[in-house]
Amino acid sequence: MSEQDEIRTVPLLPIKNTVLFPHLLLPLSIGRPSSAAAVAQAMAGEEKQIVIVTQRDVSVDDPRQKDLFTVGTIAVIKKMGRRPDGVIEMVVHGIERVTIVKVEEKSGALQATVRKVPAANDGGAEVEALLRAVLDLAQQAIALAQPQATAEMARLMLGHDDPLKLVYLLGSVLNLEVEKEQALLEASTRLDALRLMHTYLSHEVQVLELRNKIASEAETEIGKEQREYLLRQQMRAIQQELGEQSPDQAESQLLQDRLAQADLPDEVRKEGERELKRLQKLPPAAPDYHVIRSYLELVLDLPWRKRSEETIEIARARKVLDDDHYDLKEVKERILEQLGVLKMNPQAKAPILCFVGPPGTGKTSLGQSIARAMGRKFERMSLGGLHDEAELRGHRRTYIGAMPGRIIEAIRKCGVNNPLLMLDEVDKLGQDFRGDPASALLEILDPEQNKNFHDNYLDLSFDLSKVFFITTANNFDTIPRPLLDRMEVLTLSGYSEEEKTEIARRYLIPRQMSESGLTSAQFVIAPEALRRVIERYTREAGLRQLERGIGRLAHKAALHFAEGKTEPVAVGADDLAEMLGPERFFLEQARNEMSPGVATGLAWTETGGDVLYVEAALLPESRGLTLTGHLGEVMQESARAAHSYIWSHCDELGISRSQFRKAGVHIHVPAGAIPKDGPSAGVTMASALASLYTEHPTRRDTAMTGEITLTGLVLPIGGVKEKVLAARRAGLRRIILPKENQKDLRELPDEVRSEMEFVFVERVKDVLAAAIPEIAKQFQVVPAA
Amino acid sequence: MRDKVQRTSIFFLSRASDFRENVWAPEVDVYRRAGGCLVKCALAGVRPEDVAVSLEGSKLTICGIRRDPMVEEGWEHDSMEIPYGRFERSLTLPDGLQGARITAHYRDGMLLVRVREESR
Repeated sequence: MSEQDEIRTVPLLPIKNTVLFPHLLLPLSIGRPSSAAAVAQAMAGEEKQIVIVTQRDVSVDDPRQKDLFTVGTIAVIKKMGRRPDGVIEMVVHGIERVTIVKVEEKSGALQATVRKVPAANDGGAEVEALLRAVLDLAQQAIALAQPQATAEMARLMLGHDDPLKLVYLLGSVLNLEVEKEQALLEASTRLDALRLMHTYLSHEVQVLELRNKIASEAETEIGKEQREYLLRQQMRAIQQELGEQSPDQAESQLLQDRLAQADLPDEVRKEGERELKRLQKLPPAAPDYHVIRSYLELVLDLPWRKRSEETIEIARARKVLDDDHYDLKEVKERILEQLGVLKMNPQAKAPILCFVGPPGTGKTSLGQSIARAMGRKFERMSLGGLHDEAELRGHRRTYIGAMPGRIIEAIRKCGVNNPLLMLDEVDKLGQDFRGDPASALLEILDPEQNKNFHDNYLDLSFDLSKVFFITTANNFDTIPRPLLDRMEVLTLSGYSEEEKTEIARRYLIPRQMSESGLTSAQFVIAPEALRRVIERYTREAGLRQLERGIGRLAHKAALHFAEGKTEPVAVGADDLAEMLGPERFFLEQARNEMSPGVATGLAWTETGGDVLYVEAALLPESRGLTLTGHLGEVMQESARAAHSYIWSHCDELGISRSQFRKAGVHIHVPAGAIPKDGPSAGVTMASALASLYTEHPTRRDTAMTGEITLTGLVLPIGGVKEKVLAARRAGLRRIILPKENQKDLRELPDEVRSEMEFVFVERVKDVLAAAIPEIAKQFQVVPAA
Repeated sequence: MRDKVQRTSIFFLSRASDFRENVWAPEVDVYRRAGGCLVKCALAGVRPEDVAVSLEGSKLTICGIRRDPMVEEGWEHDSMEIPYGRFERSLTLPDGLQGARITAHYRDGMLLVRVREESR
């Protein structure tokens, strides 16, 4: 007991920033003179003892008792030495804790009167439990802070009989603040010390974990990919643990489910399952993974057996067609016939229709309303400028970026295997060294072959036989023959002014009004104004310009109301100049004066019909036949045929041979910049030449068309409707037509038919008689009207 | 902070023996021959009366204290490397030397402990 109360006087060394624990070594550097003096006094002592106390405040240089903690550690100086600059370096060994009773100064050094702190010797289950908890935490902390020292530390920590020694050891190792270290030193019982240490360690472990995390994050910034990979692996492990699936597994599972549920032909299912197995074996990063995935998705998306239910009701279909399109009787009738066939025999092969007609005549929209009438899905694609058959039939999957062809894509988009597929501009298919898509179309459009359509990408045959194909073209001539042969051509010729008026009234004006947000009370176009728009502002077979013109009128009206005005807009014929600008086209009036050598012909163009004049002139002291006006080969030949015919019948026609023997002839067809071709100007050429040589003008109210032969026959021609309408537009009321074209007059609206006078002819003689009154007199034949 | 890091590393360099109580261990050599051994212990500067040698079974213990009287009054340490204070060193003798007779004497700063087998 006396030992516990032992009071000694020992030199005192104040230290900063750290605490010396009993049983531990601490190296110190001493620079302060007072401290050096204390060390000297200690060294002079027999046991070289010194009491080491931590300063409360680091900034105090000359500490007194109040600046020091009250508990310190008696230490023995184990080694010491001086650096050249006078600083003492030494190692002290902590012995035991003491309470500082009194501090005084003695010969330049501090000296403390100290009393030994009684040794803690509490024990029990709680101490034991805490000790174990602390050991656990300590091991964690060490593993985090210095993984390489774990074994060594474990040996050190476990080798202690006294928990306090462990606490002191840990206290010196951990990066604790001075106050915390001091608190450990001052703890009077083992339980207190262990509790404190437990708190510190918990905090320390957290900090270390955080530090490690930050450090490792910084480290792995470089190997981000690697890290991602690791994370993915971990995620996969976690997901497996949870019984969930990784995203790519989920994806393949989804595909598997879809495959199981899809209604597929056996052959397709087998292929799908084979590809799915391959997919499941591949890592998602493999380039093939996405190729196979998109392929499987396509296979699953395709409507192998899915079709839209057709409810064919002829009456309803007729109504739909009539609602959407004015007139076009022939086309509608053909479609209704086909619907009738399909109603009677659903297995019937769908025909392949080809609508041929000038732009803007409603081919595409007719296709849409047919789809509506039949209750089928509608999909269209343009073949214009297409020059690669792979566009239609796809690329083989071995190519990077391979895709299915447009046909399969369209079917996929529709989602049913019996859509109405419209292939626009089939006459504008490219056909050159880059490829021949027309040949690929042959397979697609042949009902015998398209049952097993083979797309290169899909690599399975798909049944296209239920697809209702409609193609459109502006012109037959450029459609490849074998292709044309497979299709049923329906001609949509241009519209007459009356038809245009009717269509504008029924469809175009209401549509433009609703697009501009106008009501019928706000906007009215007078019939006369509409007529003038059609005649003077547009020149077309179709309706696009007309619709644009009406659109402009509607927009002007919309602006008028948007500006806050309220009075209704009524467009009269006189307002047009202001609203649409000056008239753009003048009616091609029949020429007022027809000199000998001029005849009026009719031409068919892609945009409708046109009136053209053939002019012939004599060239005295010249020879032969000169042809100008950008004439094609066929037209030149028909000019020669006409020339030969006239000369071979010169006596009959009363042409004076001597007068014209020494003269050449020049035939010109304006407008010279527009290419012209075809045989149908034969009768016009013959009339012009006959008129020239007989010096009798042709009738100026008469237009003519027809092909001639050398023996004087007149052969039928095409495009009668357009030509008649063009003649009518030009104010011509009398038309000479080949007899065989008489049947084509059915196409004409009744009012046109009744207004015009038609002369049907079989021979060139009849033409000449009908065209040139003087010749008729000569023949003394009254031409049949 | 820097101070602490340094201290930590010094801690790891130090040996576990430093945890023992404040005693130091002198270095010893052990010589062997038939019938006995010789333990040589470096104990310069230790007064013979401050050394005790004991044998318990086969465990030989040498302990004592090395004092550091100043050579002359008025000098102070400029450095110190020699360990002072209480020392203790125990070692286990080879088999067959239990209960042997021991004698010790100083020569040239070395303590020589002779262990002789009991003659039969």
